[in-house]
Amino acid sequence: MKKTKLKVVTGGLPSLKKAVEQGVDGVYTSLSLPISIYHFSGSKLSLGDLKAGIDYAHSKKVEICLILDLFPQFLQIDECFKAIETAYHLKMDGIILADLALLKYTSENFPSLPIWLSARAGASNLESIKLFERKFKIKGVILPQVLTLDEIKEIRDFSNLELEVFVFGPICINYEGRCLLSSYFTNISDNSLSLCSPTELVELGNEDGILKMRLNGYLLNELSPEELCYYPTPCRGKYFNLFTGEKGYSFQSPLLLNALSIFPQLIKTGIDTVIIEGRQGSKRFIKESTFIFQQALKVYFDNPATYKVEEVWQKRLDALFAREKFTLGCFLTK
Amino acid sequence: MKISIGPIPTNFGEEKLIHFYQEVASLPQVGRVYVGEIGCSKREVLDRKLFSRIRDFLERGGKEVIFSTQVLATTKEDFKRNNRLMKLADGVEVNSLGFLNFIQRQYYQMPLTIGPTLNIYNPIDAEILASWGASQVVLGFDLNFESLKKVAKSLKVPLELPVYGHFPLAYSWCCFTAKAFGRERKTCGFACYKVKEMLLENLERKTLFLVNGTVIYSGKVFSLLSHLPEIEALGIKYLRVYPLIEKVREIVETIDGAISKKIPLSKAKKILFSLSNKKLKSQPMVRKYD
Repeated sequence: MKKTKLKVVTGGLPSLKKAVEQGVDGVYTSLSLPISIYHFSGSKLSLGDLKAGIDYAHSKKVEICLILDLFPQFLQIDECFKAIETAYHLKMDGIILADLALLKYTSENFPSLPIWLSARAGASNLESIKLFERKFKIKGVILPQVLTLDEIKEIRDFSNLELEVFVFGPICINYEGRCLLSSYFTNISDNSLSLCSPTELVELGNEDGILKMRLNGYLLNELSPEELCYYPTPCRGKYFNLFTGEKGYSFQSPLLLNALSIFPQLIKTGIDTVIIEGRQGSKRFIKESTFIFQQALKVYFDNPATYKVEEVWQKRLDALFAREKFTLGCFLTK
Repeated sequence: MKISIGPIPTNFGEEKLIHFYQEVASLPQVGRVYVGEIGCSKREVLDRKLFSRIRDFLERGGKEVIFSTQVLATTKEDFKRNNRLMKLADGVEVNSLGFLNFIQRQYYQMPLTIGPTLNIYNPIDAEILASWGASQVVLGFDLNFESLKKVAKSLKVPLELPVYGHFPLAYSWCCFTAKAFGRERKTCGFACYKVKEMLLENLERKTLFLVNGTVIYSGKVFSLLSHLPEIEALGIKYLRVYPLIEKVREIVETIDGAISKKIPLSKAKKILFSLSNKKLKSQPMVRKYD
């Protein structure tokens, strides 16, 4: 049986190194681009850190790919082309793209640089994937978080590309790369930044013991001291529904994706890689989550029939995420 | 510049849809009409019979009738379902790239319009899609003005720009109307047939979103009429309007009046402001890049 790979999306250099040290199959990392002043400064690497990260990953024989899944506005194109050239010249193992212009540039100019299609490209069906494959010779697809296991299987049955699926970390409730909720609040295109809720526009203020979360001045949530604090995005805001008269998380509450409990069904779809989204995670987050998923893969491939979520994993998860709640997204049902 | 009417959600029901499109058919200012359920795959209001009927009276009114595909298509079944209706239209608005692949494998002659969800942000994106056979391109909602100018300058196929309406901001696998009733999408019981739209305010009671099933729209009505002179200079062919279903005639007549300079811009803005119950947002979503 072909073994499923484990890859990790990492933020800063320390978490990248931690993932490599854990012996994952690959790391995905981002480069800070000069023109985009609004970005998570901690989650994208400087050129110097990128080089250090590549050297470290390659010294441990771990694949390292560059995430460049923004949709560049006109003035951003040149710097994106430069980033692609950088990935090529630094001998990175691949690049993760979503925008057509960047896909074309890479496939025409650097055909030896493997391309993975980002979830943000919105390739949520076989027809889209076939088109990207034919036009840009992509090597793999990071599937958007909008698919059930049955839908993943339907794609697997008719595609030989490497299929990768997120199994742990923050989750999008909306179709990735097609969500303008953050742009609507900030007047800065989140697709052109490849992130939502830019940190520079997020305010966390304490007013009479209540934590008020704002994005560009708009109130997204009020948390009492008992409630779990999380990174605010519009899809995780609390709103008044004028029809029902109720106040609550109208789209989604702040949940983390965790596919451990359905690992056997997920792997049986035939996917090639499972991914941990650790871009905003601490070194400890990376260490614990990779450990648990490496164990889960080992237990599964040692004997698929006896796989179960082991108590020790659960304990380590509970220690790290004492208050977070987990979700299976739409893996089982929509 | 002519006016096009963007797709409206079909959960308003057969009677309202017929009434709405009959009204649109009678408006000489409208050149193109997009018809289709872009959100939920479970809605069965718009079948072949209803689509044909709507197409017939729109065509008699001299309109080009374009079928708008679903945005978040995931299964073969989604393609089959969309295929049944797209065959009946004068052209297709492709809202998932998969439909471009699908159509080109089957109907080589079908005119293709690139929908606003295909993420054109720069001239190269637009040129690639044109080279793949697009005969018209609808731009998205969050291009900055610099990008818009460059795309308009370089692209050879006609361009369409959304300028008015509750803009669709996000699409989900989850139905937020069903969720408001404590149901999953699988067991939604077609809650959206009863409650067509739900407005959401934040905790400071600012109107933010309009929820319609799986699609989140802006709670405020965008109107880019203030920028009409700049937009005119771009050489845009169609201005897309997502009309408020009850007020389509007034909205179209006002916007057309502003385009043809029969109504002064300041007066047109006032009319649209009152038509939207004072929930008007007159700046584009993204204007510049800092």
